[in-house]
Amino acid sequence: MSYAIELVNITKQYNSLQVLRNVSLKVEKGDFITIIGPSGCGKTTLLNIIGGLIKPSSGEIKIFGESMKSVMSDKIAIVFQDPALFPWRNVISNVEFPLEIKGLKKSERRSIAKKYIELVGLTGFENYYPNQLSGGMQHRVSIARALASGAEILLMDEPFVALDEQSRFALGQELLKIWENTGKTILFITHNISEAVILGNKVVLMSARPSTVKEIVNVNVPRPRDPEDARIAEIRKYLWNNIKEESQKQLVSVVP
Amino acid sequence: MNKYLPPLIFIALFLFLWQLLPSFGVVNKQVIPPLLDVINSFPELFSYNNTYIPGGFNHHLYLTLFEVAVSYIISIAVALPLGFILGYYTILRDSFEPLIYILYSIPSPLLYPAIYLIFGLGYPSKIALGILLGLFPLLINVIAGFRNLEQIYFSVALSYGANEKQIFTKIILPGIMPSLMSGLRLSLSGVFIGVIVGQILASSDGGLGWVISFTAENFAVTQMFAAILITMLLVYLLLQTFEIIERKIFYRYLRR
Repeated sequence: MSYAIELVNITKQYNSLQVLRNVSLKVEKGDFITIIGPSGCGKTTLLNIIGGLIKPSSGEIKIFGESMKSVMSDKIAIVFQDPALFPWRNVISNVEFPLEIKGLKKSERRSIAKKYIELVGLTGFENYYPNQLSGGMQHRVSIARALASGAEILLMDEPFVALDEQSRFALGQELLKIWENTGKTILFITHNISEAVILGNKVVLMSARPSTVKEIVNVNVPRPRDPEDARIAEIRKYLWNNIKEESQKQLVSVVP
Repeated sequence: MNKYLPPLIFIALFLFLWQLLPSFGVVNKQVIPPLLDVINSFPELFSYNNTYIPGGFNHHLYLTLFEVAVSYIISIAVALPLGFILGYYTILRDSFEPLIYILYSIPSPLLYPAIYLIFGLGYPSKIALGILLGLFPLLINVIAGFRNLEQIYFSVALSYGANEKQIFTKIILPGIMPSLMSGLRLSLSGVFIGVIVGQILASSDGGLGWVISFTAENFAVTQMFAAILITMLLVYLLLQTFEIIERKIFYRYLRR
């Protein structure tokens, strides 16, 4: 069986700075994986490498068994930390953007975009411009755009980091619903441990720089999950202790 | 209350005072004639047998429009491609931008005598002055438009597999359009200033600026104000048209 994402010994070197060292990871189709690690450990770099925006120094990336060579895979969509909507396009035409790039006809684009706008709960806002929407709504548009692209895999780079606690939780729950309805494979970066535990089937813990996969923690807690559930709290505590350790290493390592 | 009402009231008040103060001798009629005198002089101004302006007013109006049009077209023809090249290729931008800013920050009147020496007293010198004041606002705004394009827009486009042409038409063009439009407006206003100031300073073939200066020298103040009023109206209407277009296109998404 081939994995949705398979990383083999990914290393990334910026001059003398080694950011990633031998990162290997297998993600099954339809899985929801969260990645946490001390800040500055290269999580975003890893995501950009998987998304094809950055080339690794060495190592191999396989997407559904196919080796990816610096080519943008249309099986992958990235949801950035910033919603990164185009301010000159309204909601529906932002969602249509990936389809426009693929050269789909207008009528097809419209109907696909409408479907995903409905899925993220923004029906009625099709003609709004990004600056007329709240931060949370902008993120939903950004997710709808990624879904509309037809990608099987969503790479999410701390997508809700700029939101307040309630919106963040609510959007996380909505993302889970979307994930359950669409069966997409999601790789979700966060530095919020609670978020990582609540959302992920598995939590990938990254080490300090040069970063590698330190541990993969299974979250065997049925959904819907209660943040105050004892098992959730236990995993959170375990991760927190680990990440504290790594963060300290990271701090020490940046002092020359 | 209608939002147009207060400004209209003040405009009306201003025009009213312009009529009243000279009529009652508060202001010297020989220097500032009452508004109605100025307006009543319009028919005579436009007739060929004008006693104050040799050759009639129309010749000067058309000459000015001609000089403005030529200056504006040349300014656009130079600044637009140059701006795109400098904006697109950051290496070129970094090399040329200091020079552009040095040239732009030189007070342009310093160059007027040289321009008269090189181009003579006829229309070529007015066109050169128009370009001198019209070129830079557009050039600088186009470059600024490129600079303000956020990197993330390109990442999004690339991650959805956009090719170079699509990035140009779907990201760069719409992204710099607001800057480009205000550049076009500022450039037109610069061209007008250059041409008319040039005509006021020295002109062998006339123009609106020349009419203003000639009538002032001959104490034909009514005709002078008539010429000023018509010039102002002309510039105002042209620039206003631009602003309305800008607002129609960009207001919906630039509004914050």
